[in-house]
Amino acid sequence: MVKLATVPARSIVLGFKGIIDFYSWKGVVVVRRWPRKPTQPRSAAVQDQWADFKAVTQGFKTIDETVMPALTSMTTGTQLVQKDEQVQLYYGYAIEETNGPWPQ
Amino acid sequence: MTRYFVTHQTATIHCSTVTVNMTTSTAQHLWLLWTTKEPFIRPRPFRNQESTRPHQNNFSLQIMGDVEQQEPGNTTQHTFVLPWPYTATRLFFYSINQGTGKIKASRSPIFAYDISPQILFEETWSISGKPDLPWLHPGTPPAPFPYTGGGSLILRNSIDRSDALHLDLVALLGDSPSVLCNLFLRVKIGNFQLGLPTDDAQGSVLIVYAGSAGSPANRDGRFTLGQDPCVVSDGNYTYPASLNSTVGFPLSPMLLELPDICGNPDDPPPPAAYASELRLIASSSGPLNPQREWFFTYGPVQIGTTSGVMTDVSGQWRHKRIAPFIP
Repeated sequence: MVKLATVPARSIVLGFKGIIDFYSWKGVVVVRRWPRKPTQPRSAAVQDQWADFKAVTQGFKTIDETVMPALTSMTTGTQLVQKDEQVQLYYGYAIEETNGPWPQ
Repeated sequence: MTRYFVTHQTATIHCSTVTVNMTTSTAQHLWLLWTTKEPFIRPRPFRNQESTRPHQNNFSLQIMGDVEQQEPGNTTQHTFVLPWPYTATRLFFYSINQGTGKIKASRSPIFAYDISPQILFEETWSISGKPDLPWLHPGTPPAPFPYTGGGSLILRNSIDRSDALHLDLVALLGDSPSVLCNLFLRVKIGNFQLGLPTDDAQGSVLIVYAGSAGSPANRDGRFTLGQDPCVVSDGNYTYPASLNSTVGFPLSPMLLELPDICGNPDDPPPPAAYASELRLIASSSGPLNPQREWFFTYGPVQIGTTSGVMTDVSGQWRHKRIAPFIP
């Protein structure tokens, strides 16, 4: 990965398509080798997670209007959409419960 | 599959409970965590530096109770029955399963409901030592409610200082036999007071029953006084011991429910004997001390119904906590 001072011309970016990838990272223009699909099979631990992720992403369309307002309210004003929030809840994030004092 | 997500949920109030039904993607055994306090929201950092919005929000809830689903084992249909926290106006809840090992427990979204009771009419009156004061109710009940009678409240109090204190509040609710279905009677904070010397407060009882006018029917049953559920035996409820030693004790926010005549809307109407009268009696079983002063103040008294009053406010509550957001 190489940092650049400015974004090159669009013709240059398109000209290197498939070879070099220009993109923005933390506000810095960088260039890297064009990402390639890994040829090696993924590990068993990674493959075990595919079914879960597939279930929540493809099952999102089955959520009806009685649940969607709650997801919308949790994502309004953030960079997430309802599907992102659903995935977070599915994996147990975004909500924590406490019986103690109110968090400050 | 150890994780789940909710595809459908409904919540209804019936008498003194809130029933929540959920459908999940996989068979799970769930618990429902609920609270009446608004979630504490932490905006998380910006991953996209060009955005003025936080990446996400993390939610903290101060849990007041948890309820296990009623169905045994792992199911996709879940039913939760939790007590109606009628002293609050908002209810937040979400479901959670049991994590295994390194797998965190899945959670449902936070569902928010407005649980304000539906008030049919409110009586505002006050009296101090005046016997037999009739009070006519000028209000008009809402149209959907099958209220056909001309409502009135009649307060009667009689003091036999040689025997016992006896107060009698009667709500005449008209002729409709369905008017007492899902009915509650609520006395607001500080507006129902028995100002009694300590000696006289001992052994006070509160009796609530409904029946036709002039008939002491339906005295037996199970009632609720405030936060303290109690089983009425012989139609009497004894005040908590903490109140017995208080001079001029005010009753806590009180909701008197009548579960024994709360019926499912699909059930046949209750017998006509329940139709016309709701009576609240406060009395002291011991003799009053004539050397001491005492007073009674009442009202306002709210009479309403407990069904069909949950409103989904999931899309409203959140914005109050985060706006205005300063990046």
